[in-house]
Amino acid sequence: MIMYHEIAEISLRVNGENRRLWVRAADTLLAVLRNHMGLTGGKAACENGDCGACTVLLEDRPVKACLILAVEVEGMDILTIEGLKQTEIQRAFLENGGFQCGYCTPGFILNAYALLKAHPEADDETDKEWLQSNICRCTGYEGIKRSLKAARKMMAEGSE
Amino acid sequence: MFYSSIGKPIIRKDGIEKINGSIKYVNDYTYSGVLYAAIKTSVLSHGKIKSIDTRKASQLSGVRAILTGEDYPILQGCYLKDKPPLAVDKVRYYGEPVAAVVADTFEEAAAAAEEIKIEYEPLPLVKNARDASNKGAPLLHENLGKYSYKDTIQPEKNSNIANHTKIRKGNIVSGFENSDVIIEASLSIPSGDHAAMEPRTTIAEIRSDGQVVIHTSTQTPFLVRKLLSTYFKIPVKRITIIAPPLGGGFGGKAGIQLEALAYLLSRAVGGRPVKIANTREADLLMSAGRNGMEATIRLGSTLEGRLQAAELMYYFDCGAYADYVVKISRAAAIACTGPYHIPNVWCDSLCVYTNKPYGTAYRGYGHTELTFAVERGMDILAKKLGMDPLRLRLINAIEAGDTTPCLNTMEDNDGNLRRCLERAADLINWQDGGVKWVDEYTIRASGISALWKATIISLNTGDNALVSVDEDGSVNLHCGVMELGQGTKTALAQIAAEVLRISTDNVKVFMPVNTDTSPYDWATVGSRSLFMAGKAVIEAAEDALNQLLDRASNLFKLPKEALDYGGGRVFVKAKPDIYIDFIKLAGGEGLEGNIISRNQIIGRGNYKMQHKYEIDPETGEGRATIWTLGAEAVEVEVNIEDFSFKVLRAACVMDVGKVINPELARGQVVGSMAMALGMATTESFNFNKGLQVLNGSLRSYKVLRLGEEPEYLVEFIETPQVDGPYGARGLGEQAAIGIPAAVANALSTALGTELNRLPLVPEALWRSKYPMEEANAIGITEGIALKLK
Amino acid sequence: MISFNFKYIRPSTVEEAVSSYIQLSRVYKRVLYYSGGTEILSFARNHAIEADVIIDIKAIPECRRLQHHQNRIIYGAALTLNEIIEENTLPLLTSVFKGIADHTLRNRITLGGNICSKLIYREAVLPLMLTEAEIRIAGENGVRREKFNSIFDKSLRIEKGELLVDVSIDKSFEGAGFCSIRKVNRGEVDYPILHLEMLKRKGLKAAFSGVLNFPFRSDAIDAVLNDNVDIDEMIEKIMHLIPGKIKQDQWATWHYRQMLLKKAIRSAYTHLEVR
Repeated sequence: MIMYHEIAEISLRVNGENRRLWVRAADTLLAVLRNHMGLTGGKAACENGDCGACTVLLEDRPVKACLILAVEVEGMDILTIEGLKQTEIQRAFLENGGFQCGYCTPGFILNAYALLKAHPEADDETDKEWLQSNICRCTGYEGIKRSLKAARKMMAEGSE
Repeated sequence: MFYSSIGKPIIRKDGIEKINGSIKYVNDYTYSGVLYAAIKTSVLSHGKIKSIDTRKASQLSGVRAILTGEDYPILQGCYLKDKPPLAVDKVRYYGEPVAAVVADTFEEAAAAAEEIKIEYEPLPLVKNARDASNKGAPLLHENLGKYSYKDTIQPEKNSNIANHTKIRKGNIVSGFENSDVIIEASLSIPSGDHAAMEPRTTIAEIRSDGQVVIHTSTQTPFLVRKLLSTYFKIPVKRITIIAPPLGGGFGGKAGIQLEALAYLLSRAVGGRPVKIANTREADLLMSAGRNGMEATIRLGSTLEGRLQAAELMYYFDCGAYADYVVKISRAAAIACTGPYHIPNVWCDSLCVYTNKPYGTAYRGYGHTELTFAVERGMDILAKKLGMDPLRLRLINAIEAGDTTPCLNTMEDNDGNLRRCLERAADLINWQDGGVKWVDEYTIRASGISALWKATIISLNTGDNALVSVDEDGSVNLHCGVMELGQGTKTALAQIAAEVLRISTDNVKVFMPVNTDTSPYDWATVGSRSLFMAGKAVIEAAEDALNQLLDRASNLFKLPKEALDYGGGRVFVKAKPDIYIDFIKLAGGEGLEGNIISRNQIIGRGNYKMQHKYEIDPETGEGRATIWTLGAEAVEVEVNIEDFSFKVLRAACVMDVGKVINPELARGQVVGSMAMALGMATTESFNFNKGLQVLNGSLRSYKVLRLGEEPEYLVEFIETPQVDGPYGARGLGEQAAIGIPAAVANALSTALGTELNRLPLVPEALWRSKYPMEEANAIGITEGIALKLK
Repeated sequence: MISFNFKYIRPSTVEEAVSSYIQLSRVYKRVLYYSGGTEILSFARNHAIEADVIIDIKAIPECRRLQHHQNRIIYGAALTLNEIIEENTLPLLTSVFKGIADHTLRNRITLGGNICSKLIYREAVLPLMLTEAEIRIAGENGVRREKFNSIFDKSLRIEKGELLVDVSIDKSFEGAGFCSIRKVNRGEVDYPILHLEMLKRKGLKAAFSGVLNFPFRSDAIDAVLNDNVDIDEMIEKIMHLIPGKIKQDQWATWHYRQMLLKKAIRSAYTHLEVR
C-alpha cells in the first residue's frame, strides 16, 4: 500500500525524464506540470474536464490533466506538448490553419497525435469521437479537420 | 521575380511557437514573489450589502491582504463610469466581485475567500430590458444622473436607460401610409459569453521606483494605460502595460477587465506582484460577457416589395453595467435597417440595465442582433407578399446613391451587395427558398440574410508603425496591434514585405506589445487593425524604402527616379546589372567597402481615422465610415420527430475589398460563422427565478464542438476600398452577423412557423409547432446555481 | 485547483482498501473511495465534495480485471469505460458507454465511478439493470455477491465503507437485441435529457436515465411492454408507471421530455418487435 500525506515527495516521468518533486496530494497533474515543472503548454482553461486544453498523454492515452492528481500517475509515462518534436500532426496544424489563438492547440495536437497512432486509417466517426473532447473557439474546426487529414496523408506517404 | 506576398497564404509568424506549445500567454508567466488573488463574488443578483465579515479569512495562513469595495470606491467605464472594481453598498448581478483576497498561493487565497461571510438584503430584480426601460421599474443605478460619461452617449437619469440613440429619417407616418403591406414582429436574443479559451489574467506590480507594471490579457493595452492613469491619477509615464498574445478575444478583452482591481491589490501589499487568473466560472460570470437584446420591429412595403418604412425598437440588455454596450446600442442604431434602402426610418435603440452579468464588446458589435431582427422581418414580409425572400432582398439591397439611416450616401467603392446575395444563394443551391422532404421525418430548407457593418471608430484614433532595417537587410516591424489569434501581425508583415519587395521571411514582428516600446495603437477591436495599422505599416515601409533609395541615389549619383528595387536590392533602371543590396545600404557600407552611413534606417508611419463619426442626438444624421457588405445563407435539415436539426451548409460571401492573406481571411470568416452558429443554436445563459446563472461552466454553457459544424462555403468579392491598404477592409467579425438570422429563417421556413427567439434549441422548434399555455411554457424556473468562490 | 488538503492512499488489495477505510474513518470525518477521479476532482474544486483522505482503488488487481469466468464476464469497478468499450465484450455495454462524457474523459471515468456517481444520470447502470447483472461488494465482513437490481434503487444501496469490487454479466446477453435512444438538449457531448435502453431477450425490458432524478427500470413497465396491447395504449400505460414526476430543468421542460419519451418508446419497441 502506498500512502502520501498532504504534502509528499513523488517521482514523475515526463517526456522521458524522471523528476522528483514535492507536491500537495491535492495538486492536479496540470498544476504540477505548469507550476512545478514549467511545462506551460497545457492550459487551465476550465479545470473541469470540459475543454481539453490541458490534454496530455498518459501511457499513450489522451487524458485531461486537470482531473488527475499528480500522485496518481507516479511512474507512468507522461507526454506533454513540450515532448512532441517535429511530428507530422504539428506540421499539418501549421500548414493547414489548424489554429488561430493557439490556446487549445497543444491539447488538440496531443489528442490528434494519439488518435493517429491508434487509428492510422481515416475514419470520420472515430475522428469525431476523439476530437469532440476538445473545444476550439477560433477555427470553427475546419482547419483542424483539414490538418488531421493532411497529417494522415504525410504519415501514409512517409511510411511507404 | 520580385517577391509579392499579398493574396498568398503565408505561414503564420506565431505558428511554430503555437504548435510547440511554447508561446507564452499571461498565465504562463512566472515571476519570483508573485502573490495570488481570489475573488469572492455575489450569490445574489440584486441586494444591499449589509455586512462583510473578513475576520476569519484574514487569520488564515498565507493571507496578505483582503480588500472590499469601500477600500477604493472609484467608478470605472470606458464611456460611462458606473462600475466599481469591487461592489460598493450593493450588488447588481450574480457573480459580481465583492471582496478580494491576496495570499501566498492561489489555494490559500481561495480557501480564505471561502471564509468571507457576506450578508445581503435582497432588492427587487430587474429581469428584462423591455420592462427595465419602463418608468417606475426598480433602479439598478440610482445615481445614473450623477455618473460621468462621454458626450457621444445619452443616459437618462432616474431610469435604467444608460444610452438612448435616435434615428429619424424621412417621414415615418407617410412611409407606412404609402405601404400596402405591414408586418410586425417581436424578437429576443439572450445574453451569453465570449468563452475565449484563455480566461482573463492580470499580473500587477508597483516597482520600488514607482513604476506600475502590468502584464495582462488585453486587446487594448494603450487604453488600459490611459484608463488606469485617469482612475488612479498616475502619470502615463509611470504605467507600463505588457500584453502577450491572447488566447482569443472576440471583444471580451477590450477596455478595463481585471487590471484596476489587480493594481489595487498590488497596492494593498506594498506593490508586490499580484496575479488574478480567472477560473472559467469567474470568466463566464464575473467578467464581462455578451449582451442580450429584445426588439419590436415594423416594416412596410409596396405590393412589389419596395420597402417604404421601418420602425425599429431595440432594447439592448447590457446587464448590471454598461461597459461597451452603450456604444453597441449606438452602433446598432447607425446600422439599424440592415443594408437596405428604406426612405423612412424611425429607430430607438436603448441600452438598458438589468440584474444580469454585464455585457461588453462582442464579435459583431450589435449588428448580429439588429440583423436578426430585420432579417426575420424580411422573411415574414416576403411570406406575406408571397415573394421569394431572396428576391425581396435583391429589390431592396442598398447600392451606390442610396442613403443609410444616418443619411450618408453609399458610394461605388462600398461594395456590391447584390452580388454577395446572389452568390451566397447559389452556393447553397437556393432554389426559391422552398422546403424539400428528404424522407418521412426529414425536411431541408434554406435561409438567407444580408449583412453590413460599419467600422465605427472615433475621429483621430490612430495607428503607428516603425520599420527598422538591420545590418543583414532584414526588417523589424514594430506596431501596437495585439495578436488575438486573428493573425493580423502576419498580414502586416506581408504588407511590409510587399512594399519593400522582400520575402515575408525577412520581416520580423513581435507578438507581445509593451506600451513603453511599441508604437501607439488605439485598440485591437472592431476588425479595423488591418485597415488602420495596415496603412501605417505601408507608410513606415515606404519611408524606410525611401531612405534606402536615397542612399543608393547618393551612391550611384543618379536621381531616385532612375532607380528601381526588388529582391532585396536597388538597381539602375536602365542597367539592372548595376545594383546594390539592401544589406549593404542598410549597413551603410556602400560600394567596395567605403562607408556611407552608420545610421540605422528607421521608417515611420502613421494613420489617423479620417472618417468622422458623430451623429445628431435627435435625428441620427451624421457622417459614416467604412461599410463592409455581405450575405450569408444556410441549409438546414430538421427531424420533425424530435425536432433535432443540423446546419448542413453555411455560405458567406463578403465584399472585403482585397484579400491580403486568403488562409487567414478564410479562418476569420469560418471562425466567426462558427461562433455565431453557437449563438444561434446553443449559447445562452440560463437563469433561475433569482436571476442566478445555472450554466456557468463549459460543461453547461455549450459551445460548438467538432463534428457539429456545417460545411463552410466562403467566397470573397473584391471591390477595392479606395483608401484601404491594397484596397482591403475589415472582415474579422462581419461573418458573425448574418448567421443567426439565416439559421432562424431556414428553420422557420422548414417548420412553417416564426422562430423569433434564440437559441434555437430543438425544444424551441417543437414549441413553435405546438404552442402551450403560457403557464406551462416556462421552461426554467427551478435550479441550483453553481457555487462560486 | 483544489484549495483544501487531503491524504492519498493507494492500497493493493480489496482487504487493504476496506480496512484502511474503517480505520481512517475513526480518525477522519471524510474518507472517500476514489476511482477515476473525474467527478470527485471537479466537485472538489467547488467544495461540493471535501475529503480528508482519499483511497484510490486503481492499483487493486481485482478491481481492474476484465475476465471471462465460466458463463459470465467480470468487469472490475476500476476499469475505465474505454477499456471496456475497446474489448467490446457486450455490444449493449459498448453502445451505452460510448454515450458517456467524451472520449478523453472515458480514459479516466471508471465503471464503478459512474455507477456511484452523485449526478442523476449514472448511465452505466442502464445495461446492468437490463442484464440481470451481479455485483460484488467488499465490507468489514468480507465480500458479498448481490443481484444488481436488488441493491440498486435510485442509487447503489451499500453501507458506508463498503466498496464496489466488480460487476458480472451472463455471456448469453451478447447476442440480445437492443435499442439505445439518447437525446440531448444540443450537441453530442452532454448529459441526456432522455436515455432509453430497451433490450430484447425472452421479452422486452427497458431502463431509463435523464427522465427522473435517478435512473430506473420497473417490473411493471416491463410487463406492459410484453403485454401485446395496442402500442398507443401501451405507451399511455407506461407513462402512468413512471415512478415519479418527469423532470423539468434548464435543458428541457417536462412536456418536451414526455414527448421525447413517448416517441422513444414507440421507436425502440417498433424496432425490436420488427426484428
